[in-house]
Amino acid sequence: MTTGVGPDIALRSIMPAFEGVIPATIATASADGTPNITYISVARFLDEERIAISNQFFGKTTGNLGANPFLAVRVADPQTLLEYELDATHLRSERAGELFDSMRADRCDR
Amino acid sequence: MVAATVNAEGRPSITRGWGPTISGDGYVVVCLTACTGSAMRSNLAAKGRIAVTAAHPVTYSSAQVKGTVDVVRDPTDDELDRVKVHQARFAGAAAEAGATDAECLMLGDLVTVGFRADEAYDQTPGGRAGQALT
Repeated sequence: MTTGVGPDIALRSIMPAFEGVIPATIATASADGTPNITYISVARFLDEERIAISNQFFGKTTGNLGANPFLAVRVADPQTLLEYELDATHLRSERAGELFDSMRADRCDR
Repeated sequence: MVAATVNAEGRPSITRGWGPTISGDGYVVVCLTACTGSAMRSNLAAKGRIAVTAAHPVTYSSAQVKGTVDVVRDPTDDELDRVKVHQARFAGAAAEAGATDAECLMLGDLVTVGFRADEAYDQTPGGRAGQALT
């Protein structure tokens, strides 16, 4: 799953928050405005406007993003414990390919 | 413990929750970090839908409840006492994991939110994740 993120803060400046030491959270919303929030194991920096999230067991998250592309991801820097909320828009989901394989390997390593 | 609300455009917001209680008939009271002027504060004031997920920090056993915001108010002294107990336990668990400044995760204004849980789900990672709890 790849998401676009607004530019209020440079994602590169919070790289430690993507190390996965502290589990990140993802919130989505259904078409009727009901939120869903769960923990995720991998939120990876891709570039200044995109992050990638591994999606395992997230039936509700996937369903919500099909109806409403907006999501929020909260990550924490493991050294400072400062938290950052990323307001994002779902771009696409991948089920094969280089990024998918890399994310799967990363998740299995944890 | 984390919570999410949604604004009128469908954009979710996330915050942390502290010192929850849930009654036998499913009424949840929890103190949320929601700074004045924040999107979370606005969403709560609009009394829309809310989701709260609680997870055990070691086993990752997790559950999520959802409902419609019923009450938003300042915390009582008893609720603040529960928040302190919860935060102390949280800080202890964080310290065991090597994080010695967990207070950073506890900053911000607190508001008390009440709602009746009309949905509940197992969120524990694995095959049962997402299944409704009865």
